Amino acid sequence: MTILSFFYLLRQYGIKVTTKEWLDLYKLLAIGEIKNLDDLYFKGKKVLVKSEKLYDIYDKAYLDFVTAGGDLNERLEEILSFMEEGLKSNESIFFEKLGIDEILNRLTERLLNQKDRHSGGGRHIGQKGYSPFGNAGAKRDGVRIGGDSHHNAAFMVATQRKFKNLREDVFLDARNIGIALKKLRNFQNVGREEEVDIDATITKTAENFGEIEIVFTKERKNNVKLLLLIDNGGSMEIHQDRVEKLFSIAKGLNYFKEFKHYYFHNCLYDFVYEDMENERKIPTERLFKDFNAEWKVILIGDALMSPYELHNSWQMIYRYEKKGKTGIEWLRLLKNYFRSSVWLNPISYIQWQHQTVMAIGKIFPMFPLTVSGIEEAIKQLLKQ
Amino acid sequence: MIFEGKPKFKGSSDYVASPELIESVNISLALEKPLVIKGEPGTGKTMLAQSIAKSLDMPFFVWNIKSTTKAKDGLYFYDTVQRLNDARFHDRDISNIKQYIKFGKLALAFMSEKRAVLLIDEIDKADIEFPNDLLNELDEMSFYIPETNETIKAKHRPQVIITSNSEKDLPDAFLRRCVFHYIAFPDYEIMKEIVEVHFPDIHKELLENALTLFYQIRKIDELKKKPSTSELLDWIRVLMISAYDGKKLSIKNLPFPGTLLKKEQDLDYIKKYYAHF
Repeated sequence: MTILSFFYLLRQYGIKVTTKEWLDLYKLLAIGEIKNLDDLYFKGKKVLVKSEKLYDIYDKAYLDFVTAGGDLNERLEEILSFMEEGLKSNESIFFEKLGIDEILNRLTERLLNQKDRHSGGGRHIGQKGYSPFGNAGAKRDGVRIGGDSHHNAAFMVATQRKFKNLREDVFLDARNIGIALKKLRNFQNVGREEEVDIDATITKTAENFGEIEIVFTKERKNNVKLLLLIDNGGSMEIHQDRVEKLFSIAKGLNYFKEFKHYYFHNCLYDFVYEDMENERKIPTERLFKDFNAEWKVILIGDALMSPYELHNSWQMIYRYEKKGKTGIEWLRLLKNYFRSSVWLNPISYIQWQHQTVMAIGKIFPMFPLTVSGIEEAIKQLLKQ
Repeated sequence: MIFEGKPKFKGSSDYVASPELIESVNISLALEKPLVIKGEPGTGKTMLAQSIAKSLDMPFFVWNIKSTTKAKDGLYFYDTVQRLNDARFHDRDISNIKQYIKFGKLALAFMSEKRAVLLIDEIDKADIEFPNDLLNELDEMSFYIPETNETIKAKHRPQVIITSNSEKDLPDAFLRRCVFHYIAFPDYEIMKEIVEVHFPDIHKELLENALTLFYQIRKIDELKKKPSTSELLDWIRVLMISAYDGKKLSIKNLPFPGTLLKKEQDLDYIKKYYAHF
């Protein structure tokens, strides 16, 4: 277990620490800011983790790191003494002269050598059975590194996992959704050059010593048109809060060139509705006339229904007549007509194994209704 | 050691910083990297920079960011209009362009004779691209003025403090170059201390009940704007002035709700589901 494995562990957990940031940590080691595991936890967090949303993951990675085995304080001592040696022998030019890469190389080399040397002895620090996701049954109760009080504070803090609620995958607040939706943009200069750019005109004129030169410019606007289709069928009721949140934010942003929304019941059939009460109905056909293929479509629904509801038409379900398009046909039609569309699903990922969810997931790229899910969905919309 | 002799921040008399925050400041001083402070409004982000400048006796510059702020505003502005005006009315000799170059806050911090503290306040207010436009200047700590063929280089790398309310995410490339500190919302115990600093003679029962109720209200996710420290302090002030009986405090009987909740929808919500006031 070397300190370098902390670096890889963090990256494995999804905290994309760069070499440059990692070297900041080494600099802290070199100037004596990191003397024990507490320092490593607290100060490492400041230079390696750049979003509070990742704090919880950092806590988890740190816990894994310190409980994975081996005497870490000893290892840390070794690193510190190495740093000290380097500083003593080369004094102030240590960093400048060697260059950061060289320091990293030497450090890695030294740590690797040390590992070999130790392998024969009684203090073997292997990676045997070590897995960051801990299914190998290795007991990580923190006792193994015990006997030293240094790391206790960090250990306590990390175990509390105070920042759990800030994690991206569980945190769905208005501001975050707003930020996510704002990424759905495609700025374009629209129209002819007919807007006077006052600043540029003044500058040009002044540069010409008073010869007036008027500068025209085009207006820059977000060119994205967004169509939201929302399932308000019975099973969606429990997700209503979240769906409403997303909807009101999308509407309130006033960010898209055009924004329209309709409701559907359970699955897309012959009609969509303008209101939640399903009173003002509009033939689904009209969507293909009123909106061109440029519109970006987000469907929100749990996609949970009986297979019968997906593979039969509205008439068959409600009027027992054998006519009309089936739900899945309407969905395919929609998918093929619009250039980019995605499906946001509010149910938890585990439930996606359901037959109709999988069937619909084959038609539309499906994402969970979480902030990171929305972000992914938007990336997809911009790609298509 | 090369980093020896670097100033160390310990907090100042009028600003109580948490040990963790002090640590962050010292790390950024040692690494000579900008410090990004993120947190809810009312957690004292802006005060920090002032406190650093004061306690370490460093010159202090504030660059307040607005939605229209461009990266170049921090560097310089060539006042062509003034030059035109002078040319027309023969007020001044206009051949020296230098006199029409007005420096921005970033440039002033670069040019300071002593190492300065520069506060870039509320960076998230600006356009999403804004932080990226500053990358080069913050890395090199220098910039070029084509009009006068001059390069302005920092005499000492200023200590840059950047605050953000997280209205927009900051770009990764930008964050990689910074030390990051997140100020979590004060918990019960810390909040108790904060209130006691403001109201040293507050009745213990009133303080404890008010805080319990405050955190109870903050837990209601449906609120559009959760009350923060400043609202709490206002509310406690009103409670104290009206000599409110701390025993009577409960969410069902919420006195002066308008001081805590600033949005009408939130008041309506509390009224509907919790309180009868």
